[in-house]
Amino acid sequence: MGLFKKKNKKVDPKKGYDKDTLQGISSKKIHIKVFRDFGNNARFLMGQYFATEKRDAYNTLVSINEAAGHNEDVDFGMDDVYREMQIVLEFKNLSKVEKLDLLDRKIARQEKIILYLNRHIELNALFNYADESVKLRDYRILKNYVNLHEEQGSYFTIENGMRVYSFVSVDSVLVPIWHNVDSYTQIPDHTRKKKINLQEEKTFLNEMKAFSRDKVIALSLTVALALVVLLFMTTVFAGYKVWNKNNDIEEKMHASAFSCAQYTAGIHTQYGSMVTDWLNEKKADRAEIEAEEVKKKPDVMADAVKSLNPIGE
Amino acid sequence: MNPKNTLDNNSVENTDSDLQEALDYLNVDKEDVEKKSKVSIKGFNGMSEKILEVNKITLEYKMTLEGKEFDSDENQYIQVSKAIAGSHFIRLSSGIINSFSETANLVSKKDIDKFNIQFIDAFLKLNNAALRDRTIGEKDMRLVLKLAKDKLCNVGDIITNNEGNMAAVIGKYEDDEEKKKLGEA
Repeated sequence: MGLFKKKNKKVDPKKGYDKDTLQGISSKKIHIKVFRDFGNNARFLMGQYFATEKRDAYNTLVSINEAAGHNEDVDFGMDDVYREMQIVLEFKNLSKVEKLDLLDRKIARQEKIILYLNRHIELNALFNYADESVKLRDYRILKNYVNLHEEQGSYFTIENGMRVYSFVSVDSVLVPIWHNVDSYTQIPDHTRKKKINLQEEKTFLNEMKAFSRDKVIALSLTVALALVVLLFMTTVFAGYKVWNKNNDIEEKMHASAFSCAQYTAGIHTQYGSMVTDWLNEKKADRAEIEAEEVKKKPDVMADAVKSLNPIGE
Repeated sequence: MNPKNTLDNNSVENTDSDLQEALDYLNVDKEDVEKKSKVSIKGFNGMSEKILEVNKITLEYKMTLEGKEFDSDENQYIQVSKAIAGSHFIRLSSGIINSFSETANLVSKKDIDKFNIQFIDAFLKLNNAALRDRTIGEKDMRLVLKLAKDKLCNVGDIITNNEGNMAAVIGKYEDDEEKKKLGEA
């Protein structure tokens, strides 16, 4: 038994995880926790479930759990901001204080630009308001990030060898929680915009599908077929009606002849029976007469016989 | 925090001195502002060639996104509001719509099915570009996409197989008689 005895896992005391845990972290299966925010960092855990990471139609990494109706981005829009701005502002060799100082100056200038663009509409011809306001928002996000970010911070925590992503449900939209520093924002994220785009794309493609030539041809053929069937049915019905009508007319046409024939047959029958009766009567009369005649008729033979002389006289 | 709420401050009067201060701060000339806030469309006015219609549609789309409105009296687009999309997206999407303005598209009498393929492809490109662009807010997303779709539909009306395509490319509609003739053709 000693051979099969399971060895204790060697846990690196500095890192705090073992080899199996690392494999769990890199697997596609992740743990999702959804909270409701009550303010003052008081949160209520609404639900938790597992999800699998996949690539969607936009080639974006999403976590999906069909049973729970969960389909959210794993990468978040704010990540792009951090990455882009780190490069744009050349943050690499600056200390935290220098970074914050630089960002403060940038934010102040940007705020002033936005203020002027709001006051003087004609200035919008030279400065794009959308660009400038997004720049200001990015600076603010980055400042918040620099101020509060810790090297160990991330969107996920590790529990039982698995990545756990936590979200706060705001108006049924899941906003990701940045751990350690609690600096999640409610600025519209990539996910929400993506849903709008998906809806629009689907509507557009459905509209286009509805107007495709194949569909029109198929529809036309169906309508033509329906018309042919309708015409055929009408013709059959009309034929049947005509046939019936013909029968009716024929019946009416032959009615007089039939009655005439019937009448004639009746006369004939009556006349026949009358003749037969007359004949029978005649026969009977004749028989009577004959019988009377026979009675009245002299017995010639007897007379002859009487008249005959006797033999020898 | 939404920048609009804090910075939408109109309590200060819109005076010339304030504008001058803004111009100094932004380091721009007043002439430049006046020049750029009014875009004349002299090139398009009175022109009836279909070849320019697509360019005109693209210009309209671009101007709407930039917050400019057409003033028929002065025959020019004037800056009346703030832009609803970033300059990068405006350039990109205008380019996509403008790609239909090739002369070959007009004279080739494009079949509706072939146009549909191009149309769907263009819209999906626009859709993806809009998704990746952070400058378009949620409330403006549908507006931008529907605007792009409408403009592409209008382009389709021009470049698909219509009667008298060729005549419309070459001819002008300025005379009523010619207009009638072309209409009959």
